[in-house]
Amino acid sequence: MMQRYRPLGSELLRQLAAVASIPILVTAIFFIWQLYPQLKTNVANEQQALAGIIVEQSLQYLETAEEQVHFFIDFAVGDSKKPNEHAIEQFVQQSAYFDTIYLLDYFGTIKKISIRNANQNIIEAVYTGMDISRSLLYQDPERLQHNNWSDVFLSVVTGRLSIAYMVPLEDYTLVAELAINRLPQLSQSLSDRGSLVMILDEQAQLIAHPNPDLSQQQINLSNLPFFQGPEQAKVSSNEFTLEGIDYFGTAIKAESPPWYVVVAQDERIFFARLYEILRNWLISMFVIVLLAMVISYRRSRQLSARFQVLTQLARSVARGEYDKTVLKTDIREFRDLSDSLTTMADAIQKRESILQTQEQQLRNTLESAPNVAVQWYDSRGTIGYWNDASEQIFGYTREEAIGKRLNQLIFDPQPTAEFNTRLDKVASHDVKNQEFDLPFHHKSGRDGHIRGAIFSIPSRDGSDLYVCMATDVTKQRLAEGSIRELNAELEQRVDERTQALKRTNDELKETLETLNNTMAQLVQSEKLAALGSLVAGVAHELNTPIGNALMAVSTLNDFTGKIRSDLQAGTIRRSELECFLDDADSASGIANRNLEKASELITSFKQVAVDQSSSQRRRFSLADLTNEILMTLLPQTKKYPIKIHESIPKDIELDSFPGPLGQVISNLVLNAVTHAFEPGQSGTIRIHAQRQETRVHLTIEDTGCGIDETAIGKVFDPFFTTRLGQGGSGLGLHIVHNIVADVLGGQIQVTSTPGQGSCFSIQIPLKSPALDTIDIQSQAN
Amino acid sequence: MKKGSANRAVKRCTLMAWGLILFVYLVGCGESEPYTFGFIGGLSGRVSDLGGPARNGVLLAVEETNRTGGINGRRIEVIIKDDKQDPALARKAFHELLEEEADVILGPTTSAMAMAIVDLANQANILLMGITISTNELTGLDDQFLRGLSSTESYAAKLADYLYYQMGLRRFASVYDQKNKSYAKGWSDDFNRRFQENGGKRTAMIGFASGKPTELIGVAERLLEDAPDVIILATNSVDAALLAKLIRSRDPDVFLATSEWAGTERLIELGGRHVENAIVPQYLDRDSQNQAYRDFRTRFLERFNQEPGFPGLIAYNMTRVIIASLHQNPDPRKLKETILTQKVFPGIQGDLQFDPYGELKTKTYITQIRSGKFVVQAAQ
Repeated sequence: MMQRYRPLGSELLRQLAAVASIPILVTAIFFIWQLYPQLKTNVANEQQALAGIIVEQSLQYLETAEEQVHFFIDFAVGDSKKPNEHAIEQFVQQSAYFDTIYLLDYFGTIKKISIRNANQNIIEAVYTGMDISRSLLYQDPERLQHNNWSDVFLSVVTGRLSIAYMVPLEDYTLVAELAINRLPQLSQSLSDRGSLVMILDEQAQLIAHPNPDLSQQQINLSNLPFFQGPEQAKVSSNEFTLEGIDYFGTAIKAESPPWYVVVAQDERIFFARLYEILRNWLISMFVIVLLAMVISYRRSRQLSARFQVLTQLARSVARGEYDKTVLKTDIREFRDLSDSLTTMADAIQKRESILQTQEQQLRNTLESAPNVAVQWYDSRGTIGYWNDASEQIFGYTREEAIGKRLNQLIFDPQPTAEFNTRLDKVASHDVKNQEFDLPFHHKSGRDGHIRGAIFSIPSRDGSDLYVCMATDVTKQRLAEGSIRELNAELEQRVDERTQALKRTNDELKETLETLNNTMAQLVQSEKLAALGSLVAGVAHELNTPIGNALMAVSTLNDFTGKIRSDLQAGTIRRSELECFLDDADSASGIANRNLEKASELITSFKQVAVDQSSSQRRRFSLADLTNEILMTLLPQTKKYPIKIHESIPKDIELDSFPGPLGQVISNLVLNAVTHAFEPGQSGTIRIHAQRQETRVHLTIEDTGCGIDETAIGKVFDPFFTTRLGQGGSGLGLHIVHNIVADVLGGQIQVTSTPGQGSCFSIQIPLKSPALDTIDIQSQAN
Repeated sequence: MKKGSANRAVKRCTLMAWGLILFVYLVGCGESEPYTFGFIGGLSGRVSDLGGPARNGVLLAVEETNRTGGINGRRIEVIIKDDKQDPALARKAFHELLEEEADVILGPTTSAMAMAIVDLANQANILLMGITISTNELTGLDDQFLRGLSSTESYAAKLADYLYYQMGLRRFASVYDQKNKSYAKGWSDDFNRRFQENGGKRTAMIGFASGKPTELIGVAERLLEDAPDVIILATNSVDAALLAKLIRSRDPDVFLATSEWAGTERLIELGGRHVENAIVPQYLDRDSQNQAYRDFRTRFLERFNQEPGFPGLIAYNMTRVIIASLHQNPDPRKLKETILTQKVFPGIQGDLQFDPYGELKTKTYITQIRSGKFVVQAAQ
């Protein structure tokens, strides 16, 4: 878009006009809001005063008329109650006010009448006897009872609009009519001064108007705003239209007669005053503005001239002429500006020389940068600058290169296109700079590679200049090639290794699976071993009572045979028979006791065996279970000099799995027996239980050698054993831990003081949270 | 930057302020040109009982229209002229109204004045809407004169029939006002013809010039000379009242009848007991219970403290006809065509129907004055 420039002069004038319009507006608003109503009020006050005077005058006029009537009555009526006929005639002819006078009787009939300037006889003949009881004059008989002025009515006698003064006499009412065309003369004389004066009766009928014709037309002006509304104010001012003319007027209500006097001013006259003020104001405003504009125009010319000088100064500075013209002025700002321009010229001069130096330095730097080829291009890619490094890298001298394009020197079409694309991008300001990495041909024909960037700098003429800075990366490219090869080899090797690792991993997985299977088998064999030793122990245990019983029975058998042979031989004696019977008693008692013991053992064994093999859930007594277990362990424990103390309250009942719990107790006791004590060492194992709300706390402690600190953390790990190769499988405590945690829903901890013993403490719930039947095998695993 | 925008804001404010002033000025001056209705009527003197209410009827219709927004937004102004029952003044008033660019003229209110200005209206091609004019002399003419009544012939005949057949009167004397000869003489002739056709007999027919009360004694005496059954007064109300007094004070038994002209409130006001029992035909139904009429009468009384009578009603109706026509076609020069094309307009006491010559067919209501009131006897 073209910017349009205005001269300073017209701008100043414009602003002056804008500023001047504000006070003009303000005064206009003031005029409308303040002055106009004020003027109106003034006019209304004047009108009110005038109306007051007119009321006064009218009253005076009517009062004089009244006085005349009363004087006449005093003179003509006297005490006779009926006026002298001749006197009535004389009065009318001489009165300056009244046109006619008549007497009404009680029924509203004219009894006696006299009209000014008329033949009395004919008048009497025409009007006497007329019944005006239905006329407006007579409409309110009340009013006839007092001295009173009537409303305006059309006189039947004169045919003119009249008002009448009515005086009640003894038998008659005297009515003196006054034509209201006398009042308009009053109003007319007052209206000459630019005001309209009207008199209206109580019904708002026009009585007096400067135009006497209108006064005779019985015009009712109740539509004027003075008479609108429920109650008419004594004084009110309003605008109204009458006879097509707009007025502003004031109405005032007189007391008696109750008439309105309206004093109004033609609004054109009223506004003429206003317009005069407005016109004078406008003229003065115009003159002021004009004056201000002339002054400001002259002033702006002077300012303009000074600006011209300063502009010249600035232009010569721009041209590089630094002669110091000084503006002669007494305005500080101009003086300052002039000084500043001079100072600026100095500064520019200084800066220019610095810039020249800097440019030289920069150019030298560019020239002597050994490995960085620097070129300048215009937007079409034509070379404008070619430094020494460019000569070295590309083989072309400055003279050969400048004015040519790169495709004419070093680039094939493909790199040329790429280079130009980048140049265009920079030129279109999409990006600040563009990097490139392109192959080139050295002047000698050798292939090479350059890497660099293109960016734009402003040139002297304002257009853009494109700088290309590049380094020769031919060697790096070669090195990069070999590195890339190495990388590829490395990747292959990693692949191979990964494959090998995967295989190893698979093998390991297989091994682990085998191991797990083996462990399961071990657990099974452990159980079988335990069962085996149990069976061996039980068999051994049974051996004694059954052996004893057998021995007693066989002894008894021997005795019985001997007795029988003695009996057959008849050599039997009484004493011998008694001895036999005693022996038989004793033998059968022995056999009986031993068989009972065996039976007891078998029962215990049976229970344990059932529990351990079936893993059924049931309610049982912890004390009973422990005793049964200990009994089954007796064959194994009694080989050692170790005492087992059991102190479990009888009332602890569990709803749990007796088999697994029994295996736990038996494993822990056997563990203590086999591991806690040195061979031959005596000691004690204490089994204790305590009920704690819904749980039971079972401790199995020994007074053995204790567990090393290093080992205590691992005792529940599978295959951890201190007796490797001595029969320990390393699974006993692991199984215990699994059963307690998984089957019984409890926890197991071990504490130990080396040399003093260990304590396994088990917390299990009285009611196992587990299912009714559990695969102990898997749990153990 | 900031300074610039502040500067612009000041400029914009100033511009807006000047724009506002210009706008107010234009709006103030933008009101459309008002219509000007001229009115000519006898507003002073003895015939002012026609002119006054007629003028007021016009004013009421115009004021009501202006209050409700004028005619399609255009206000109506009324210029009122008093002809004082003087043909020269009527012509002068007409010329003045032309100069003041009246769009239409309502009036005049008496036939004599109508005769004086109808030709002028035809020349100037301006519509003259007569109010209370029923002279036969303007009947059946295709001219610029329209009126709210039909010719006297129809009305006079109705009164003649009523007096002859209903009241059984046979001998009559008639008197007419020579100052409104066009109406009064015409009406009297029409009555005369009909009454005689019916079989009645005329004993006297007297013309006199209104405004000279001294002449009236002689008139009254001559009317009574051949002992008529009924005396027919084709005069204005004031003269009728005076004559009634003079006649009745001489012969209290003779019947009195008037033309519609005298049938205003003033007849009763001035005649008092002397006009009791007089037969007075009326152009309006004074006893109408029609709500529109009663509302109209109330508004009229409130505004002017005066009975509308027939002049007020007819003037109001005619003004409404003109306003309605201008609503249809705003061009006042086409008023006659518009009115005669539409023909039927709503009126206060029923539809108004114009005949092709622009006369309204209206009824006449025979009333009798009883206890100071017009009491309707028959409508024809």
